[in-house]
Amino acid sequence: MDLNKYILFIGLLIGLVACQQKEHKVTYQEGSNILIDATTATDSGMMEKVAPYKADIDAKMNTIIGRSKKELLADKPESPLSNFVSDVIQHQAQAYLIQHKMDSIPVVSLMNIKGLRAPIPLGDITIRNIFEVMPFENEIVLLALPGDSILSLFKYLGTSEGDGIAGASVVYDGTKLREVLLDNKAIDPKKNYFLATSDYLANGGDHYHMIMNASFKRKINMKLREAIIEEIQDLSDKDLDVDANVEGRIIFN
Amino acid sequence: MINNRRKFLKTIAFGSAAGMLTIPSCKVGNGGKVKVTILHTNDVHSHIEPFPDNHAKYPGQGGFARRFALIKQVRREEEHVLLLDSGDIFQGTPYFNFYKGELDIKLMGEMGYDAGTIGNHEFDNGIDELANQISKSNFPFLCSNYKLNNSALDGLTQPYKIFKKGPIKIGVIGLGIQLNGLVTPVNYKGVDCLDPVVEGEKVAQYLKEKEKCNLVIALSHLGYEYKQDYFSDIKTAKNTKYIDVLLGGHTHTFLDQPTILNNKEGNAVIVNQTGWGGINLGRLDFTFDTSDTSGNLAFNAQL
Repeated sequence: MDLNKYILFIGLLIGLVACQQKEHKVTYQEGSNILIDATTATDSGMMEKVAPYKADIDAKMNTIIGRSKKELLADKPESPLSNFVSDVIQHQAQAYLIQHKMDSIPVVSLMNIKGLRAPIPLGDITIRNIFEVMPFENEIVLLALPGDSILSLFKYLGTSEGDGIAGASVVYDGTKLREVLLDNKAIDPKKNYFLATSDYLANGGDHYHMIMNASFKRKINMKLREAIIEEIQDLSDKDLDVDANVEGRIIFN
Repeated sequence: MINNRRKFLKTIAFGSAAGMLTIPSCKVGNGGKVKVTILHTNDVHSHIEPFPDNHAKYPGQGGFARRFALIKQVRREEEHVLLLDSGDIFQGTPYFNFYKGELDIKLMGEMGYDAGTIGNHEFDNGIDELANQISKSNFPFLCSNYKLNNSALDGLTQPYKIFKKGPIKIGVIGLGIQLNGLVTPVNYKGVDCLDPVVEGEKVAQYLKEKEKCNLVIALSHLGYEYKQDYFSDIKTAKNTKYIDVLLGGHTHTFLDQPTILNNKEGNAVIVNQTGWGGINLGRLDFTFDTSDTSGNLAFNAQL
């Protein structure tokens, strides 16, 4: 072994180890969340890269499908938008049952508020608006569940501070279920009921485990987004605006 | 025996070539202060364009082109910048419906993101599609608590990455949320979600003790804090001692400024989250005093 090389190597090794073992004192100086808005500069290169994609999407998205009487927001425990979408789900499920000559037992619908990602704006509604409300590719699913599972669902709704429902009204004392009525009647734990919801919730999403093991489960071949678009177009064909209100479907005392 | 020693020396000699580069920069750093700026986002949810001007909550806010201009400005002003994302890149605008996340990841690559982690919405088109998109990414996805070797993501993520900024070593890990109950089971087939506190701490300890990282940052999609006893950033911060910074996501939490709290040894941890939709760019500035060897995360007196 060349002695010079060896000394150089040991020297480097000591230097390396000394350097690696050094712990530098860290000081956190400051932190902030910087708002990005119209006052922020725009990178033109990035704009140019987005442009062809934007043009493609705009062509598809800017079609006006109807009008809304007001801005519909989704909020817990009950809100105009969650009521509107829950109604759409219920209508679609009822239409499916009639079309397939199935039992006309009550149909409750359930839509998670977290799944409604944007409001329906006041005035003209475009396809884009509905993509923003419902960006997910979720489908409507029809489930048959015994009354006790439906009761578990409503008990859970008390702790999750509400979600979108149609076909039922429910009252809580704090988080505790006081009363729930389906079609103005109390739930019979042994009777079967239909629940229409998204495939996401039917698979136990958003902690809805109690509806996972339905004896009957069928996709009605309709995406949630398509159902909302269809409802708005139907209203528009009849010269009606979209409208929905908080009606006391879910009451927390 | 002699052969073995020769082989050993040869290996080290190769290593020392890299060492020659390290030592001078180490010496230059002695006695000086090195500033590192961390920029970060979370839950951008495919908001490539700004929110529309008539949006009820965030009129005209966000947008990739503006964010990139801001990032470029910081890079002009600061020598050492890290750009990180805490997941839920996907889902929320038609850009995702039509391009399946490919455009988001491509543009983030062009902005020079250094690393990201996987949020629950990354699984929305199924794990095979996520694997397809990640395989095209030019920045790494970090997952420290997902066991992925039986899944389509096997080999496509890494448990940590170390970034060298001058003489400073910054270790970055990724903490993923429990997918059960959030994602349709078939969409995350083969993913085993392990305890983020235990696994995160393990990797962070390795980065601190073995890799001698000066700072460990967790990109987290656990969520800021819950009423229920779920894993969260606050819970992780309080129950670990090797993680210095948690850059969070999932709960779309807007913080006026980063939260500072104590870890289980009473040392400071910083938790930040930028809301969602690319409305804010998070920024944290650290200085590393290269003459001081105490190593603990300390705070500026102004705070």
